Amino acid sequence: MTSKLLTKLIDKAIVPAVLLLTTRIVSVVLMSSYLNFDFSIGLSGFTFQNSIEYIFINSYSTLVMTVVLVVGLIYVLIKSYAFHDSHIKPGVTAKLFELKIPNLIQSSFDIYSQAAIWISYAYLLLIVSGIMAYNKLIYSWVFYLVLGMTVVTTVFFIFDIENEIKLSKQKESEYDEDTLFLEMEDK
Amino acid sequence: MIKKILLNSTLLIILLGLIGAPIGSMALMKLSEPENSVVLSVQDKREVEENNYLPDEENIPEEIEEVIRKLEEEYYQTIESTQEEELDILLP
Repeated sequence: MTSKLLTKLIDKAIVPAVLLLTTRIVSVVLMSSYLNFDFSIGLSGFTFQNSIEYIFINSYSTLVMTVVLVVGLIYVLIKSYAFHDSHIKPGVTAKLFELKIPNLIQSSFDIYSQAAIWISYAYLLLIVSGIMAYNKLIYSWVFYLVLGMTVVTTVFFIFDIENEIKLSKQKESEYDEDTLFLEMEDK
Repeated sequence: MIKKILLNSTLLIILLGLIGAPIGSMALMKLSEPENSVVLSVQDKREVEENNYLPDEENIPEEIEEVIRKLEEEYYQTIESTQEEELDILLP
C-alpha cells in the first residue's frame, strides 16, 4: 500500500534531521553564552542586538552544521565503498562478523537511500548558505567551504554509482541473440 | 487507488518536512538593532566609526601645525609653477 522507497527515505531522514537541528540550536546557545554575546530567545527564535555578533554566530553555527554533515557523508561514503554487499572483500566480511557488526554490510537500496538524504541536506545547506552569504548574513568563506564539501562528496558518490553500474552489468546473464541454430533445428 | 495516493502523499509531506526542518532552523536567528541606529551592515559600521574621528583643533601641537603650513606652501608653489608652464605652452 505504502511506497517502500518513501518509507525507507523517512526512516533514513530522522537521524540526520534531529542531529542537524540539535547542532544548530546547541551551537548557537553555547557559542553565544561562551562569548557573552547579547541575545534573547523568543517565539521567533534567537534575536541578536549586534550585527557583528549575529554574523559571527550565524557563520560559525553554519560551519558546525557543515562539520556534522561532512561526518555523516563520510560515514555513508565509507559504507558505500568498503561495506557495500555488492563488492565487499571476503576478508572484511569475515572481520565484521568476527567483531559482531555484520549490520554494517548493506545493500545498494539501503546505502543509496541514506546517501540521497545526506546529499539533499548538503545541497539545501549550500543554497541557504549561498543566499545568506549574498545578503552578508554569514562570512562568504563559509559558503565556499559548503560548496567544496558538496562538490567533493557528490563526485565520490558518482564514482561509486558508476562502479555499481559496472558491477551489475557484469552480473547480468548474457543471451546469444543469434537464432540461426534454432531455425536450422526447425528445418 | 485514491487511498494509496493520499497515503503516499502524506508520506512525501512528512519526508519533505523532515528534510526542511534542520535547514529551516537556520532562519531561527534574527537581528534586531536599535531604531536610532543608522548602521546598515558591518562594513557601513566600520566606515562610520572611521569617519567619526575628528581631531581636536585646539590641541594640535605647534610642530605639526608648522609641518602642515610648510606642506601647504609647497603645494601652492608647485601649482603656481605648473600653471605658468602651461601658459607658456599655450601662448608662444
